[in-house]
Amino acid sequence: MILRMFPFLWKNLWRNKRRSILTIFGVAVAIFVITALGAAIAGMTFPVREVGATSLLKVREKSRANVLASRLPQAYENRVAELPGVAGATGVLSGLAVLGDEGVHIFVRGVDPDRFREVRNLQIDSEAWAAFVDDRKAALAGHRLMRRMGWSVGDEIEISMLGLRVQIVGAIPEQGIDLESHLLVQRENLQIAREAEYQLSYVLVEPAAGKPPAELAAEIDDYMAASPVATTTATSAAFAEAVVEDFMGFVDYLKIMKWIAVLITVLGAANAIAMSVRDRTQEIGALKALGFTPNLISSLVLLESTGLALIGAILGIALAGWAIGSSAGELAGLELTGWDVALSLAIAVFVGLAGGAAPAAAAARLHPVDALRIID
Amino acid sequence: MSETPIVEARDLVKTYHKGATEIRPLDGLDLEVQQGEFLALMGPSGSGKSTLLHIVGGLDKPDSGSCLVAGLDIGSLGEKELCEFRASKVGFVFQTFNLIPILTAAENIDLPLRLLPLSSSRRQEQVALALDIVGLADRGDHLPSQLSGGEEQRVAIARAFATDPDLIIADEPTGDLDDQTGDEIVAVLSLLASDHGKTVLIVTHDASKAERADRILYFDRGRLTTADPRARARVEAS
Repeated sequence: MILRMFPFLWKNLWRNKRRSILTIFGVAVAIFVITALGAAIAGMTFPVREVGATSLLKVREKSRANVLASRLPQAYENRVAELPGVAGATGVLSGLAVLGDEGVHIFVRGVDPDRFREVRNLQIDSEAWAAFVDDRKAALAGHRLMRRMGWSVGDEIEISMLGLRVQIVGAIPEQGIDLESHLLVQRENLQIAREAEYQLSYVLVEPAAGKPPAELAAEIDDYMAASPVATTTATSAAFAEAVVEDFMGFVDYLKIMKWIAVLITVLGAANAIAMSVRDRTQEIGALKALGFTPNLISSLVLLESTGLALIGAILGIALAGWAIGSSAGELAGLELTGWDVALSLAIAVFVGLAGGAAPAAAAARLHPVDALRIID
Repeated sequence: MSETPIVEARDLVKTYHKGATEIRPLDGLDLEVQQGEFLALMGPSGSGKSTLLHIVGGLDKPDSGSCLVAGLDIGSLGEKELCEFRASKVGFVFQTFNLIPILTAAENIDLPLRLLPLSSSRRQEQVALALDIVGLADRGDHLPSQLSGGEEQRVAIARAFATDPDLIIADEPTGDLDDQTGDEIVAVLSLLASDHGKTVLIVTHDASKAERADRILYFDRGRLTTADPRARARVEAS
């Protein structure tokens, strides 16, 4: 029955063009805000989620509050590797540098190529890898970093803050934020440049199969407690959380904003649909006289409000997709997923149904004689 | 005319409350209407004409008494059955036309047909026939705003007729029209009874319009005073 009424329903959507366009625009803006906020939240929490999926541990210097200032003797790499319950360990020296006129912050990681590749399970084509291993001045750059900086394979990069000059021999393809946005150089090269020979920032540890990471972390710290430099070992997720901790309160605030946007849109849509139903009271009476059932009338009103909300949502999602797409190259983790689209469409259906519910019930309840205002 | 009346009302009572005041537009009314009759309902405001039309048309129910229309007891029908009754057995014509402004004349006529189990081609035939009968075969694609008042009311009559109902109910169909256009509208309604066998009930305040009916029912305080005021006039004259 509803399908047979589709032409009538479609014309009803555009009955009051200005009101419909304003309603659609309101929903579109709200869905844009909701989707863009969702993507921003996802982008902010991306490092935590990304590394949270791995079971790798990071062993760093205990007394340092700033993880970047941590220093461990290079010998710790082998000491940790020999512990029971450890499948592999590799020492990394990190450095932060600011590049270019825009002052872009980049992370440089000095690694022992083969050990790092094994522990971190780095995926890269063999030609680029061979070039990296063979040349002490070679570097591998994450594909996001390359796009952001406008680098190409073969470029020579001067990182004056670290006293480093490297040649990019390959791009690290998509496989995790910590690799895609960073610059990998040979550890020895960075150690010499930073005058930090035989020093590490941290040791990356892969627990043996079946070994709980938290248990291993405690065992490593116990073992190292008597060493000249005590250590703190945590999962990569905890490490990432420590880095983005300050953002989390802001993320909660954004989530509240998102639901306020939904509420305002519901009220706006409800008001527009209620006005539309009020304007048509007499017509609804006539429809009832023609034999339209209360269910059919309320369904038409609900479909009308849901239709407007869905058109708005599609516009809002398209706008958000465009906005996100134009910044995604630079901002890791910022993307419009199928889940975001589905959630936005579900919100639009909710807005349509919630906004149309009261007017639909009112229209269904109207007594035809009262609606027609027939006075005898 | 068939022997079984299409409308058979017995002792109909309908009461409303307006604040503390009780209004009784129908107060024990009895009525029989035969298939194919053209009836005019006259009387002062509040005398019960429109209330009777609402009950006969299935828009309202009586408080007591019985009202059989096309064999169905209106008082005992549920909400859904009343909707089905209105969709298939009755066609309404209103004083203010009540066409849907965003639909063309043909789409307005097609709208109630969509409630019935009819194929698209059958609906198109019914719409074309109805437009032809009211003399608007060439105006089907016009919006109500592009039609004159008389033409709008013809479309409303076509909409009421298209579903092939037993009864056509018109509540002051000429109230918003000039005298000549009103006569044309009554002529169309009369044609539906005489040529197409429809039972037509119209409420009117205009005696000249009522004169065209087969019978005039005169209402006074919820009852029929006499079945034909012309007869009453003759009685009073003698």
